[in-house]
Amino acid sequence: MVLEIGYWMQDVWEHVHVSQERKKLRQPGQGFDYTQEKIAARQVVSQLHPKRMRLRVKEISQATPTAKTVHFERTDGPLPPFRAGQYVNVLVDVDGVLTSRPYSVASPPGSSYLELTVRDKPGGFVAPYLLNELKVGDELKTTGPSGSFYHEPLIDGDDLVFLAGGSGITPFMSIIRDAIQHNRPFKMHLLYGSRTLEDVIYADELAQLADRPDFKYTLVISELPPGHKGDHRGHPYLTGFLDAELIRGQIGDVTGKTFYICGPNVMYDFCLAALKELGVPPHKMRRELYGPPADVTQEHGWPEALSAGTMFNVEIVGRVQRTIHAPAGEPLLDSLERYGIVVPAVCRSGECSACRTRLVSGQVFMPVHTGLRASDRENGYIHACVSYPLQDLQIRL
Amino acid sequence: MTKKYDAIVIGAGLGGLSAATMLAKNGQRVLLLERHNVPGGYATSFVRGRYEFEIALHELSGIGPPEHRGTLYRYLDYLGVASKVEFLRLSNLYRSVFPDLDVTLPAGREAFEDKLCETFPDDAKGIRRFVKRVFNMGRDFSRISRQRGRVNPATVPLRFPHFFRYLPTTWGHVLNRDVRDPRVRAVLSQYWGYFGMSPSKISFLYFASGLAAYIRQGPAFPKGRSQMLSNAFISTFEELGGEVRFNCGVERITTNQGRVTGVITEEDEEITADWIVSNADPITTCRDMIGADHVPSGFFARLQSSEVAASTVNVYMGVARSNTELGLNEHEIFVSSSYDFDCQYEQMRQLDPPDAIAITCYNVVYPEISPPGTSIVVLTALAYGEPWYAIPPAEYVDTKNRIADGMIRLAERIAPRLREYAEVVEVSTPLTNIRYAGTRGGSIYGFNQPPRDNMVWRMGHRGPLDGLYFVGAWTRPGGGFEPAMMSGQMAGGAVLSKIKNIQSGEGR
Repeated sequence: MVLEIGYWMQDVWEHVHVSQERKKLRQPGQGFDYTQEKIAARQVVSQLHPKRMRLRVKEISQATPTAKTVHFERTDGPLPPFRAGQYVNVLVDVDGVLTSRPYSVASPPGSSYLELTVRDKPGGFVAPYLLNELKVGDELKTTGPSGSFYHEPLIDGDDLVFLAGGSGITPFMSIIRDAIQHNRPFKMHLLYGSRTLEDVIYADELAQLADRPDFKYTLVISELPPGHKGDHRGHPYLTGFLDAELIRGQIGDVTGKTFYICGPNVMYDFCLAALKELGVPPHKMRRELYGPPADVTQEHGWPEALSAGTMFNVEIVGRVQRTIHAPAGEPLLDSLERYGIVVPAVCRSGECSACRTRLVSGQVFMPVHTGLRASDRENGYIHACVSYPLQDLQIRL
Repeated sequence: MTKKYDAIVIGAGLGGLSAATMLAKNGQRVLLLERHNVPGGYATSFVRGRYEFEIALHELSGIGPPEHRGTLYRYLDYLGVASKVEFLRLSNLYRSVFPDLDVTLPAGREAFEDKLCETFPDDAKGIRRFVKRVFNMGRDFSRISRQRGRVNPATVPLRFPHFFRYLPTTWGHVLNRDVRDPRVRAVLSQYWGYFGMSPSKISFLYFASGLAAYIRQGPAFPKGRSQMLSNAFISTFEELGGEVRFNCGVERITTNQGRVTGVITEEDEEITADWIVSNADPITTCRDMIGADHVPSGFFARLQSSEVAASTVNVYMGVARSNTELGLNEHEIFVSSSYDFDCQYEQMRQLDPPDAIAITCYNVVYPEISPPGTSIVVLTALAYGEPWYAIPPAEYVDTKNRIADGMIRLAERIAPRLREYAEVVEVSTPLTNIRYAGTRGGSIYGFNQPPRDNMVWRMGHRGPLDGLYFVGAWTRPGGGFEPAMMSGQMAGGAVLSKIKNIQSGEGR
């Protein structure tokens, strides 16, 4: 009891201490001075993750008959660090339409330039513009580097298998170049599937690297002209696709290996199934983003009766009020852009949520891979970049 | 000319969401502006592959069982938000793991005390005495919080004796007198990370009232993650006629003769309103949005005694094994390699792997949070923002991965195969918090919460200019999910009573 009274007095006495402490800190020159910013934290963050970068074309070279490799330098600051394998979203103005497309960076982090390789694609909108219009000295804007397709040293291990399809080679170039530059302790094996021989991007550089002990390179051509003599060493090319049998033949035991896939959407379905067949567990497979489907009407769950050309009214409510016409077969984001309505976008693949939009009424189709938050789904939000109208819609931007 | 909005709320963090909804509920025309494209501030989630990660919430206080709802739940119910969210309830507070000790403490006062006394019989008397102090404080605090109108300070020592007595003390100061065994002290102080400072520094008022509420009501977690709570606020706010704009940051707050008059957005649009409620921190609000010249100088002098609180390093892991296969049997597991929390606190200012982490495995109470056979595991360590500013950009990833690697190693003591089965990993740092939430120093609790800045002496909601109000962790009652939401009720209430005064002719 006596002790408790002593404690009580001790505690109450603290009132005096605390009040003195507070008074003292509030004297001029004491305590924390918030009138000046000591270290500009925001600046540190924008060095790491610039929202926008202004890039100037330094050099353009023809990579294949249908692809060009472009080197950019940044004019509004140093190039930010990034993870080898990441992409930037290139913002363009094509005939008055402000749109964007993500391109993987092919140069390794730390280079003085940023390298993107653009390949023409049937029905493309931005690629033809970049291939035909872009000249040395031109400037354009991009987002900062983004994406989660990279080697993660915390969990990925050192035994790596890269499955590339077509222009899907680009992020691997960054990863491979970075690994070689920094002598990373990797064992890398690249299986690169290309339709024809002349479509192989980075063919010479890869063939040269193939002499290294830490890098194995397998080129797989699906349409090899008859009577072809083989590669520069006279070895015959493999033909066919990156299926389970081919992968097993090249890789052998899959245990302990981490697999990375980048290519067209069909390749993900195909290769993921092949790897599963080979016994690769899901946590050892990494894939780059599924782009918007080439033909959404072929997607699982698409209403059979609805054709891609069916037009719907999309009414934008709220601050911006407008009605646009959008075809069922086109991502809503693209339709909006055609009308000059710019929606923030980064991945354009349904995963980053930058284009999160409120669907007030109506129904849209989103592919299964869309990375929509569960609570966003329940509360009527959509990712406009992979949302296809199934009815007349009301949306709010 | 009639104005379109009565009030503008800057920022859709929990404080801003709560204030905006509170004002809309009471008939105000409110515009809520948010820089990011999702609401919630830290109450958000993000998707990687087949996993959707909770960003910040570990355990939510103030919900309670249906028959005895807590303060937060009753407030959410009043607004109309509660019915839109399902709350999962946890039966244990936490599992506490040290090199030579492993104990799990249940919710419920009796069970909590019994478990401790059973584990540490030599200290049983001291434990019971101390828990009694904690509950005395908790009771006084909830009584004084329920008081309507202003409490006469002169009557406080008699009417709320425990509150008065412990108000200026630290948690460690009170605890160390009753309990001798450093292991017992550590187990009882395990929630220190929830309050941002080690036991010898953190206000007893915060820790005791928080712990008492957790023990009495048990912690909870919202189905759909904290993002569901934020989305529920938005949908309620809109039902009440409120207007929200995402991707819309505020550049300036306009003023005229000592009164705020509106805002100018990043898109250069000027919007006027009588009341501005800022969920941005008070420094950014007054120095960057208003301009120090327009703010009475006493404002910054007063802030000199407030220190920006710590931020976090989080390792978000999507793991291709169930939580039982991993050996993660509790929602919240604290793992420490020493009993010295003060030393761990000092580590928060260094760029080294920490000696203590929290492992949160959401699947324990929320099995559907990830696909069958997988789990979501988040490792958390507190860290101050400043050391991170000095890292050269090219070394940032290696630095954060070095720290994350140490955290995973520590977690592997409990879940040895965690890394082996990891499918997705993302590491966030104080810089990530600054990037997405825009908080000063990446702070998660606003200003630090030592006795001199506890909820009584902490910054209030009225700003230095007429019509300006603050909301969020920086203000009363303080840091944390429940306090941030309650600050919105308090700030909203302050604006409403001011409006009522004006209407009844008492002037501004």
